[in-house]
Amino acid sequence: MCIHFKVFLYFVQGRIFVNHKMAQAARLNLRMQKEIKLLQDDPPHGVSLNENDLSSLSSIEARIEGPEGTVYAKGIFILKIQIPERYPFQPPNVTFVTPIYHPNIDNGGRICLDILNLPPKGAWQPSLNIATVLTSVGLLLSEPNPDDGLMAEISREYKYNRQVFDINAQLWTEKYASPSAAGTSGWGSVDAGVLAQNTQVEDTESQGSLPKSSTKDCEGNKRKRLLLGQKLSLKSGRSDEDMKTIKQDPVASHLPSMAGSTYPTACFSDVSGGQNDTSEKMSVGTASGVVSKIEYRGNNKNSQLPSQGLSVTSEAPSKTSDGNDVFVLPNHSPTSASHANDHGMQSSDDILENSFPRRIGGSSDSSYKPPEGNQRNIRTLGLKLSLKSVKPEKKSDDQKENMAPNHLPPQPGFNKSQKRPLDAVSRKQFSGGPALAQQNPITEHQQSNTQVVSTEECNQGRKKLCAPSRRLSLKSKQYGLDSACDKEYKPPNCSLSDKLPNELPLSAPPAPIPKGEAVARNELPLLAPPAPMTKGEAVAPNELLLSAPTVLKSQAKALGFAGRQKDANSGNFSVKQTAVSMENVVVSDSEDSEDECERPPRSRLSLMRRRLAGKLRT
Amino acid sequence: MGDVPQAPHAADGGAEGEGPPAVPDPNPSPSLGGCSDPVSVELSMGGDYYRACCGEPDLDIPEGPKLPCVGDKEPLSSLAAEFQSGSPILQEKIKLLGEQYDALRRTRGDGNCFYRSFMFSYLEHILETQDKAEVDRIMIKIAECKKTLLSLGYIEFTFEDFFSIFVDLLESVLQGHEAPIGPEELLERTRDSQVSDYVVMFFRFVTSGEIQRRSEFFEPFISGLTNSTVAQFCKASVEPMGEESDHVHIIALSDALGVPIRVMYLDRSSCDTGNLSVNHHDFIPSTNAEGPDAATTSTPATEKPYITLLYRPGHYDILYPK
Repeated sequence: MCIHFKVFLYFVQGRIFVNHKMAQAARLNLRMQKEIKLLQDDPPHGVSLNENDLSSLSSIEARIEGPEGTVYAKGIFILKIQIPERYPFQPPNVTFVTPIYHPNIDNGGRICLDILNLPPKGAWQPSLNIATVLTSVGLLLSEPNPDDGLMAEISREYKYNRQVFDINAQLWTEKYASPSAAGTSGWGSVDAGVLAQNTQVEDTESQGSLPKSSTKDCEGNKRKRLLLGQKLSLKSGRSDEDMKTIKQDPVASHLPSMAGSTYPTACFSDVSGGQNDTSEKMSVGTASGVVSKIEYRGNNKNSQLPSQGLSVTSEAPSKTSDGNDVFVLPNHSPTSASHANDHGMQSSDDILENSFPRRIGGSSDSSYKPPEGNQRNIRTLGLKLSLKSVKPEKKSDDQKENMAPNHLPPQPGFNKSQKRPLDAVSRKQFSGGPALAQQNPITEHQQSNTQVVSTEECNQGRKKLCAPSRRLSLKSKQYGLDSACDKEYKPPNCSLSDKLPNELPLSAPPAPIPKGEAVARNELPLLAPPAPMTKGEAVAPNELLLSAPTVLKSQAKALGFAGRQKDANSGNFSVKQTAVSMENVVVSDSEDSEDECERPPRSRLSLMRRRLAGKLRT
Repeated sequence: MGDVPQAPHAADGGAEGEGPPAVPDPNPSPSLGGCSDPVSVELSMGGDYYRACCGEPDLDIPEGPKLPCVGDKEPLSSLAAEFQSGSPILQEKIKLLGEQYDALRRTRGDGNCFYRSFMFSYLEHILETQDKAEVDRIMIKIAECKKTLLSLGYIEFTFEDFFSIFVDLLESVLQGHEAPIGPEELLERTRDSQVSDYVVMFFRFVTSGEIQRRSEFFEPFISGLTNSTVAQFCKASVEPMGEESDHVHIIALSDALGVPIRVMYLDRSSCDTGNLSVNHHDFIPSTNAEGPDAATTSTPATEKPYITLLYRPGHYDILYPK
């Protein structure tokens, strides 16, 4: 195309060498015909040409089979090969159309391969051809080069936590590159996690501050969370089949989790000990998932709006079937754009929004996982919980931070630590919280805030209802993230099914929380969507208590305060109550995160809600 | 003619190739010793080349984009002016050069300068002499090169375009051709980066094929220069655009195409005797390519180099004899 156009231009310009240029174009076309013929007649191993689309010689499509014995085996990856006008002096532009989880392939499908770039950086030379390039790409699949990774996180994972990498890569392969799915999915459906990673990487480069701060503060926590998130995703992946109500791609769920954790690989390292058996992990996840599922279903019955609504919204923008992934993307892109410029309210709102999808994804993961419920899973969960419980406070911070990292990627402009955005959100929401939790007088502020929000929501009507629920879900997710790690979150579910009695006694002290939950439930019918979230949250704290006594105490206190507040509030407005309860829960979290009290949470929260509501409507 | 006293092996990478202060030399390459010998290569100026000032001379290689692939013909005095404040040795050598040569033509210093210089010099020679016999001869050589590449496993379409471009150019400078071109158009075409690069790649393929065909002969040179095998050397240092040419490349190209090349070395080396001279080396293709060393064996005077290149460490330009 370009070539023809150029030729035309030369004609118009009446240049001396019209004939010559034409000859050049013709020569290139001729060469391409020969290249294509070679690819048809004697292609490199595992490579085939898309015979259906050979109309343009400057842009062809090839399929490459995942090399046997690799994590990409049985996958069929579509490659787009664009021939520059100056080919072969310039290398062909080869990208993966099919998403692939590979250290040297970024979320746009771009390949980090030396022969695809000109010297001095690259090693392309005019004596090469497309077949040699495709051969090299095949080799790259067989032997990733994590030392020259395009995807920092995946590279780290590949180097230091190979098992996790293998799982992820296989998941992606199954999801996106299975012969049946070949060509149906593009990178657009993946982005959430990957994007976050990439952006993070880029951010780190451009803005050293973000990654550094977050990393320093809570790498360990992030890692853990990441691990958790991945585990969750894994679980969700398997549960997908079971989950009829919710369409989630394992990968999609995965992504959010990934996104949440800035340093997935690192996280894995922590978990790795426990993760030796993926199956175990999976089972654990499922176990927790069972509970959540049940709850979720209950919620769905009550109000299917939240889950469906979410998926719908997400799907609309990006066609993709993966609700979570898609959902996240739209948010990200806008946020990124806007963020670059504005850091203030918008950024916080955006963050919230971003976090929202993600959280939803996270929550969905935990909640949606099908109940394959193994008791041993539960045990493992308990173990995990205990681990987490050991340092609950840190975790809570970490969680917040994790949330932040996700947000961060979308917002390049957001210089402050990745934590910040999340923190900001959480803080905003919860900043009043900690104080409130400990001291009732503060609660008034929250109430007022919540009331405002709630009132607004009420006015909006159904849509608004959906919005609140979503908001709630966000909150709950945040809560879950903040107060209880994903693992912790899961255990609550488990507890519901198996351990409820045990936990309940434990939770007894935090009784206020249950109240809050109860309130939430009551309201839930109205706000059906949020209800599940709230439940999950409520449960989570209890479980946390169980797992870690110390933590339990602190949380219980917080919860108790919250519950009190909630109760008081509930009397006034049911909606408000729900909101309050939510916030209270948040407050409990906020206790852990003392450092984050600085910012004015409410205004942003309200903004967030509004935006969310708007988005939800749309 | 080309007495080559102490042709250093290609392996001694630029031992005496010290650039003048004005000529930073990032990539010293081997140079040859030798006493200057008046060379009477008649290259008449094919036409009136306008003398546009090319701006700063590309003493350094990365000047690339600013200079055309092939510059305009300049009097040798421009070279002298360039080194006005440079090394006295260089100034003296330039004076000596002026005794035999009166002009030079610069080529873009992008690592392909040797091939571009060779390309233009050779085509200009054909244009001037209309030596059909030479064209026929080199056509045969080109055909042989093609066979060589095929026998080495190269896929034809990866190199045939480069070959055909050069053949087209070659034919077009012969007046018998249906669309003969004059000197200006020759300059224009060789400045067209498309054409120019294609021809450079043609030479690179020819060079690579020749080195690999006679890998036993070249292997010692190459292993002395780099730690790589012949094949690796060709992939890394011959075939990629922008890779500079060394002694090995010149030998291989000269042999493969059967075209003698003289290289005048403008460096700061000096004889102990005090008699300053401009070293030069004639690359005379061996009639038998399998011969022991085509590079250092002077063949009969019938093989007068009609291509003379001026070498300054890291760069080649075209010299025009008086």
